[in-house]
Amino acid sequence: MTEASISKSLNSTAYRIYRILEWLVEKPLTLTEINLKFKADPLIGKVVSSDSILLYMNTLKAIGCEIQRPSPKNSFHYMLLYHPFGMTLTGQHIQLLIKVKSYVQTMLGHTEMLNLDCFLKKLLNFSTIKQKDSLQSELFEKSRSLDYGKFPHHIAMLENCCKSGETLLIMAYESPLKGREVFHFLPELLFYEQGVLYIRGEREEFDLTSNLRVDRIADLKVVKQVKLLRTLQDRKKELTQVEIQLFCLKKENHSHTALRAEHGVYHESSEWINTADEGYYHINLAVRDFFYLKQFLLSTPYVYKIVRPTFFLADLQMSLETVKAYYEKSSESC
Amino acid sequence: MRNLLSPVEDKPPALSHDKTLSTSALRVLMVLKWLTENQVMSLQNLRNNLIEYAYLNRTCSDETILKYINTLKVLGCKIHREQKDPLTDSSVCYRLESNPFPLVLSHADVLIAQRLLTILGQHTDQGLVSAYQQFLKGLSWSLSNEQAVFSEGASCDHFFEIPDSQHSRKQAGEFQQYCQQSFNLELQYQDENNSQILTCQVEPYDLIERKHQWYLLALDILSNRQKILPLAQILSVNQLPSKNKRKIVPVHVLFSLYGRLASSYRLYPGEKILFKGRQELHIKSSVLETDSIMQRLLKYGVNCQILAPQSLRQLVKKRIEQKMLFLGTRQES
Repeated sequence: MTEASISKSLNSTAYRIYRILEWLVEKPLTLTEINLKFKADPLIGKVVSSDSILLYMNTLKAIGCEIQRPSPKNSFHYMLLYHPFGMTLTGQHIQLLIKVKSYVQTMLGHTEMLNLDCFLKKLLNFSTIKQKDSLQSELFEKSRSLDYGKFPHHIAMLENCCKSGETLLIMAYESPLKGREVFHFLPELLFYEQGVLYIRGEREEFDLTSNLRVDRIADLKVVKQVKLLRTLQDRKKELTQVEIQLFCLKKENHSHTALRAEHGVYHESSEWINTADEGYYHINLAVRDFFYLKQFLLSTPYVYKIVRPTFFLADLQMSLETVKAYYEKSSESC
Repeated sequence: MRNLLSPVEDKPPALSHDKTLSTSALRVLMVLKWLTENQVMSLQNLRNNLIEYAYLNRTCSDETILKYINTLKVLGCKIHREQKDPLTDSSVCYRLESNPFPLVLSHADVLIAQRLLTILGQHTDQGLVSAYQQFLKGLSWSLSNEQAVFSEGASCDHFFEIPDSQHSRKQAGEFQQYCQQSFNLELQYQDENNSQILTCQVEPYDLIERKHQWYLLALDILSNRQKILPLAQILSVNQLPSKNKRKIVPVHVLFSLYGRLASSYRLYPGEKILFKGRQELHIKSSVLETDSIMQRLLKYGVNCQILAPQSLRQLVKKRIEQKMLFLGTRQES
């Protein structure tokens, strides 16, 4: 078809309006930029008046587009805020996405989770739903997870620090109980748990590893304090040997990997010895962070013995005694 | 949810000769909008829509609609004419092959979408994986065909392929049906030690998923007690002619949280805050079975106490006493 014959079978105004929409989907444009594109288009080939552009914009608005008018605030650009040619997402679709997100977030690493969040946000933004912000909040709230879209700088910086293992930071942290704290921190590992992104690392004033919520980090800066860096690096290597006998009734069906997965015990350096005849697993662990191990031992339905270290045994005993005391009272007196 | 998802209003003010916009262009774009929403539309439906549309208010010939379609084709929209019956014009349809303003996914987006499918395919029930697969198929209509990720050897078919069905997923699907049908079941299952095979008759209620393992929540007809059986332990099922007589009643668990946990706790589905102090939080949770919540709350240690029901408090106490028996007391150690 020649250009002349195309022009005859074409609604030229519709053509121009469609092209404007296509261009605005890509990026905001000024009046001059739109006209430059018109001139470059083989089927238009000329500039049009600002009144015509206004007519085109009004037509776009009539089909449901939301377009911000040029103003000093947006550097005199036409900005497309919404168009009705996206994907139709129903309530069922949203519930499905919430269900899927909730389900997989215990199984994905932090990078995958952040990628998933980006993907889901992209889907919501592409949909024909107008209240995208409220829907996005609902998606995160109902899947019990936080939106880390606001923290790309902090996350990228922490990822780099974890990779190098040589970067000491000074961190301003919003503690829920103590308010803003400022301290030196050596990041070790970013990890995602129950919808929350944490950074594990060594804190100057604490002997044990700290797990901090990334969304509570107010500020981060790299500092050069070689002596402190070395101290914290050395401290990171101070692992405590732990021996546990876990009495597990299910002998055949439970491989140690299944048991580990079932109870979320994560220790790369752990060794599980199946002493099936005696009815327990002998677990050797090299532990720096007792927090998760203690949580596992408190919640597991199985009974166990702590062979060593004694301080951990005493800590666990004390916790169990305190908890037991709660339940000695009748519920009326609680 | 209904408010958030209410469709975009399609009814502009009745201005058939509005000078501030191009009505003919508007009609072309409305045709595209309707095709985007429906993907396929008959010529007749398009005509009716245009007549009903407030900006037009007059009849519209088939030639005019054809001109609109041609304009859209020149613009690059892939629209195909279909006619089921070559003798009747009423069977003419137009199909929009893909979204004119496609969604562009990054490589990371495609990988994560695929990863979800793999995970769901391996672990969850057939219903969820099928729904997600359907969703992706719907999404594929809106994707750009020239996406690098698909031209790098990974076809769309591969992208939407469900991994091999796992036995557990099939089994979960079957048991979900049993629960929906509400017929009593006779089960043969292995006991916890895998040492003997037991038989029981149950009223099946629901499937529960814990740490990616499926369990049947049922009522043992003989003992009249709730039973939670791992699907992996069930060897055979026989559906009985009698139906469930009782309905499952949710248990209301009341618990308190203390200290830092109280100030940073995020509610789980079905939980409500009853009291909020500076360092104390009282929460009510409605659950179908109490094992999962007990296990979760116990991990909070001294920062949590179950306040009600009394039966659950007794169970917690018993479990702690068992643990202490093995661990010994502090004096002994």
